[in-house]
Amino acid sequence: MDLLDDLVTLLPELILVALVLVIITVDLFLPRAEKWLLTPLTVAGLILAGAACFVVWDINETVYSGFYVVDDLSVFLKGATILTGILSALFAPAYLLVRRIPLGEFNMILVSALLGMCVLASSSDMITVFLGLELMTMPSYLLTGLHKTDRYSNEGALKYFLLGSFASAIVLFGVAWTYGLTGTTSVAGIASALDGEMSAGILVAMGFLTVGATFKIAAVPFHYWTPDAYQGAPTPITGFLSVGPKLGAFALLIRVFAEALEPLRADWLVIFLVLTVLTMTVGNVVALTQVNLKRMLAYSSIAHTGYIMAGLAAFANATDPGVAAQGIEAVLFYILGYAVMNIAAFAVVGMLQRDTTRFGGLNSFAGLATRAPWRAAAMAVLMLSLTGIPPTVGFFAKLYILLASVDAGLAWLAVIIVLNAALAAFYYLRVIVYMYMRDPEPEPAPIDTSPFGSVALALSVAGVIALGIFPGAVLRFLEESAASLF
Amino acid sequence: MSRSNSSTREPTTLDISSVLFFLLAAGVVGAGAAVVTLRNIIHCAVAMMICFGSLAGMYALLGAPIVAAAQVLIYLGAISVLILFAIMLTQAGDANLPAPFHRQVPIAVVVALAIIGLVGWAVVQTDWGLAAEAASAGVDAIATAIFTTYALPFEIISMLLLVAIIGAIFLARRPEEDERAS
Repeated sequence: MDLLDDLVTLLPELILVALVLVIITVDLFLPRAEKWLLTPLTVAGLILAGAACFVVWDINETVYSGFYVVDDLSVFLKGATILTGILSALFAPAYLLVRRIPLGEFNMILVSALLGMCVLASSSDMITVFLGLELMTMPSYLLTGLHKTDRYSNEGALKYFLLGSFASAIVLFGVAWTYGLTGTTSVAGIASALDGEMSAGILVAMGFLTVGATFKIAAVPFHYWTPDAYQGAPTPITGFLSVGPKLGAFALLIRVFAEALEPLRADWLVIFLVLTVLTMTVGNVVALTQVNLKRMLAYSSIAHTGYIMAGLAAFANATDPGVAAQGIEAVLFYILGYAVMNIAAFAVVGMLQRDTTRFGGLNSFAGLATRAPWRAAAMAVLMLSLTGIPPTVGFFAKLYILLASVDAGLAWLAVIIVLNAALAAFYYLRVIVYMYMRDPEPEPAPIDTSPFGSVALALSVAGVIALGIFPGAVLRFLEESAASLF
Repeated sequence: MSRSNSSTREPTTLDISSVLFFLLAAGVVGAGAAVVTLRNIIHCAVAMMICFGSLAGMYALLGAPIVAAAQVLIYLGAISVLILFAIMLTQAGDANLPAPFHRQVPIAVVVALAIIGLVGWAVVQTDWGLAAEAASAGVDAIATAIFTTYALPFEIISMLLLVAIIGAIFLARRPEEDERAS
């Protein structure tokens, strides 16, 4: 049996599993005043798991009877996953502690969600795809509802749970259909069994898989759960939810659509193009009208989903493998950059909610520049990055998507992306206007200045700028990751 | 899926397994429809048990006795009883709930019929030969497979259950118990 020999390829996942167990156990013995120790513990564990990603880099093997593939693509996604985990674990404690939300459960559930995302990234079989999806979304429902005494948190969690399980069932139905048609659940097996031939059954299978998967990435018109779930969840957790499960769901899209259904990419491309355009336009237009920053960022995250989908569309439309790889690279870079800037942006909103009655309105940002100049500057950088202005990571992320679209012959899509980015500039820059050009409210919201949050904010902003100036630093990883698909 | 399975074996004659199949199918579909249309929640729960039971029969008919047994044990046994208990413990007096989505019935009917039509059409159109070959698995074969071929998915499920249990306990715990625990 090579079950044990394969264990080493699971090193990052094994560390996460161990971390879950350690957190539960340590949480039992820590007195209340020392619960904050769980945060450095979790972060240390996550850094270890992140380091383990470098150990399994370049392995490129399919293990465990074809259920699991440890290729560079999966390892890159795992690294990005663990990064979102580290940032979330650092940002959340201050917000959670004033609301008496236990840190032990939070950290444990967060790490399990990360584990699910890692499984999803590495799955090379529809069974592992589905299990990874569930292991990712179940903790996400829990995280949304973590603030048990808050009505909005309950409402958001329930909506997320109901619609999310519905979407999971639809994915599963699609998987059942593909199995019936091809006689296999293996991603590679499905790809070779389909060989580009279209039939009614395949159409239905693809339809179910598309609906279920786009539900998970919150693409329009399957986005209705997003604003409520994002607004209800504790703010730093919203940052994680807007990035983590989306990262996992894009891993699913890559595995299912770019790999298993690759022979049919001309067919799903049409659906994807419609959804891409709808998603970014609706997301941006609705975000324009929001005065609650959490809701605004929720809708803007829908728009960003649209940009990332454009990268997949470029992959599907490309005839040349090099251009197709460029599409996947653009998707990966966007996910990475977006993860850092969005988690940090939500975290700043959360820092202004130290007073538990605050709901993250735009007004609480009025005059922030005079009250907390460093935080205001950080938020300004994040907003510029989300808009896509150089020298930030957001600029290069958009640029790569645009280049991939143009090279793949989708110039019109690139035009729509640019128009959308211009539209989005209005509501992102409005936050900067509020911070720098308005006077503070008469009774301004107290600001959280806990050290963990400040460190994480400084790191994220540094990352956003560093990747904006030297995007080449991750280029090698991107290229090798995308290469594992071809 | 299953219909074409049995019909490929005996396309014309109406043998006993076809009769059983249609009876069970009527049970699954009829009870399923009853679950979503009945107003009394206890009636819904009972209809759901009939649906689960018919489905178990269907699995047995298709030569998957272990799946059928699991269906009876888990769905018919554990889940249904749990749901009935949950209804008993949470309902105060009148079990007739107002149906919150009542106004959407016409749209729902149209959408449901459209999906049934589409899926039904696709089922008829499709050649299910590959699935018929793949089906069939005995108890010992499944037992071996779970701990060898399917070892990794099996372990992932155990993590999933761990999170689910801890999450359920956390959500169900009263706030004052939270205080004591932390």
